[in-house]
Amino acid sequence: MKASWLKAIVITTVVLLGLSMAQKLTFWHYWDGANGQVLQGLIERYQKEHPGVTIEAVFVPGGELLTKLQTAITAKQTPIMAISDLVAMPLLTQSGSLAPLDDFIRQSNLNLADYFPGPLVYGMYQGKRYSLPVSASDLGLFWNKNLFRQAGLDPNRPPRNWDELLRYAKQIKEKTGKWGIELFTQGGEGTTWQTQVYFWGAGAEFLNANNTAPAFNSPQGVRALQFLVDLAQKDKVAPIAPWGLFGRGEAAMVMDGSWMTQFFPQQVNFELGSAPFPYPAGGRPATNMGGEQIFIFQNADAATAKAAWDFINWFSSTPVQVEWDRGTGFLPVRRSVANDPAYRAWVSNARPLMRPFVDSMAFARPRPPVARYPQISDIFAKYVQEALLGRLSPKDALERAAQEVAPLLR
Amino acid sequence: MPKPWKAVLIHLLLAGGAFLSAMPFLWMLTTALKPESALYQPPLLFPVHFEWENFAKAWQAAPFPRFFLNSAVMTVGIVLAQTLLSAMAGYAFARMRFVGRDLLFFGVLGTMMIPFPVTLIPSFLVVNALGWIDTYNALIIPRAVSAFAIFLFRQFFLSLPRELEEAALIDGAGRLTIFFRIVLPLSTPVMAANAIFSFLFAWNDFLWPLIVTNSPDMRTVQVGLAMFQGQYGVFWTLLSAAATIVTLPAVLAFLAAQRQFIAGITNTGLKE
Repeated sequence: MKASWLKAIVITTVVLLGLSMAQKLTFWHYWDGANGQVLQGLIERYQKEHPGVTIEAVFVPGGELLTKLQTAITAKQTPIMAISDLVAMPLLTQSGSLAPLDDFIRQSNLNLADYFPGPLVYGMYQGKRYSLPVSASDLGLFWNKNLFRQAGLDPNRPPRNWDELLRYAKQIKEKTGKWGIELFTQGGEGTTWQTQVYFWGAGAEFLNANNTAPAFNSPQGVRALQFLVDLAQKDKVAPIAPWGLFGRGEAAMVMDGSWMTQFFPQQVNFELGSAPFPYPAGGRPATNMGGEQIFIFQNADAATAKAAWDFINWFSSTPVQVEWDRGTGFLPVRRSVANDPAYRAWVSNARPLMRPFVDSMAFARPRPPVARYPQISDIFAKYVQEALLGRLSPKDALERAAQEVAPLLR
Repeated sequence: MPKPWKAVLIHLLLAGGAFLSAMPFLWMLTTALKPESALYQPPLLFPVHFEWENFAKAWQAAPFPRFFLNSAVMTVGIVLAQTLLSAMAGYAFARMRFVGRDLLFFGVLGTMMIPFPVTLIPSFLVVNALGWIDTYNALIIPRAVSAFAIFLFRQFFLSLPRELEEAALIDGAGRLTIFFRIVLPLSTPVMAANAIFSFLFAWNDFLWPLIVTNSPDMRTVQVGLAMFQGQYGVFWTLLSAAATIVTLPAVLAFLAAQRQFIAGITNTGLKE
């Protein structure tokens, strides 16, 4: 009798001590270089403020994180939490191994309405939320001010619609002999996600509202693809060539990502401008968006999951996100961060090129969150290439792409 | 006199081939020495920039000393194990008679047809069940034999004169004595060739070490290289600098074993 009492007391004490003392949270991510250092700094501060919680951040190179996560899921050897490129989120949520976050979000009063709508689309599966956006990036226009000057264009006035874009491109080709605009023509997701910006701008949708059928083969879609084909084939102001001409000063305009506001200035020897990507008259402002989402795995016990959520909740808070975005150059996922005076001041002073990208987050659109997106993207890109090369008319190319994509969505 | 003319032509051809093989290395070296602002300039064959700092930056970007140690332990383990175990298996297939020998040999060859990604998850499950995640065991033991090496050794052993072994057999030597005292000493070319193959395989391996290790203390140099291929743009100058450092042991190993390597490759083509 006595012995069992003692035993119970000892066990309870050990369990309680265990709960209060060691809470080790493994966290897989692919944030390399400076981004990884910023993360480590934040983690160290969190650990200091929350004694007993240890966050073990494990870096996995970006290209292999999904492979490693999938292997870990199969072997039930998952970390406590992880991030992923948002494109892979549908695959991960459908694996059934992520923990739903809805209760945590409710208990912590996390205001989802403060988030930009684009990134929030990911991580929803069968009415439940499994992940939260923690970083973003988007696409915009960069232009070479030196080439604009040489062509007799105002170097501080970017094209604001497609007519201007075409006119500028022609003038640049005529006056300087350089390409007007560089398109990503090498296929794959690189081609698809740039082309989507033109499609959305022209009012086309990529898939239907329920993501059950292709929608890019609409008249608006044909119009958008026709515009690109004309740039390359009719007006010959866009090259069909390996990517990188803009960086070498061989093309005057390019669509590229917000992260390039960090890299281009060190890499190019001309004056840069940046702006939201132009859209056609009668169209709508639109851009594409990338970024990472954070999530918790299901096999963590309740206390561990709660500890992981507490970290995620802290990491997602506006002041920490301001610091995170300033340190990494990622774009805000929350309006309160994008509108934060300190953040805005930092962008204006330290990263003026990034401003249009921050502003574009308001109309940045998600790529359809379907598990087979990578295959769909490859098919779409293949037919965009066929059209750009002049082998198929835009209408035929999109019809054939739609025929191939449709079975993947059923 | 057609001969000197012919020699010049042959040497020109060889020089062209040598240039083609050396070009990627030159490109890597000159990129490693470029400042980032010169990144978009065309590739160079001879360095005009000398940004030695890139090497220091690359070295400090990750715990490379530890990565080198891990790669070295893994590589030495794999090379030794593959050479010894594959030679033993190759010998059995070449010389011993047992039921189902040829079937088994074709089975071994057949495993070469299975692409690695197919076996990745099953292998991981086994290693995980054994509790080997984050250990040298996981890095070495699953790759301790190689079907290709078994094939290489078997073909070589078939070319050795059987009489030597028979003489030893008459003198009362057992199978193991024959293998270690007669056969292996005659097999230096194929052992060198196999050592080079398995060295390059182990040193350059990326996906498996990444999958079975989590802690930075167990990562290898190739995983270190991947740090420069960021999700948001590749740091080409640093990547090239790090790649130069990481490639050096492989190039040195190849140069050291070059003569045996070539002899080994040419010999394996012979039979009887």
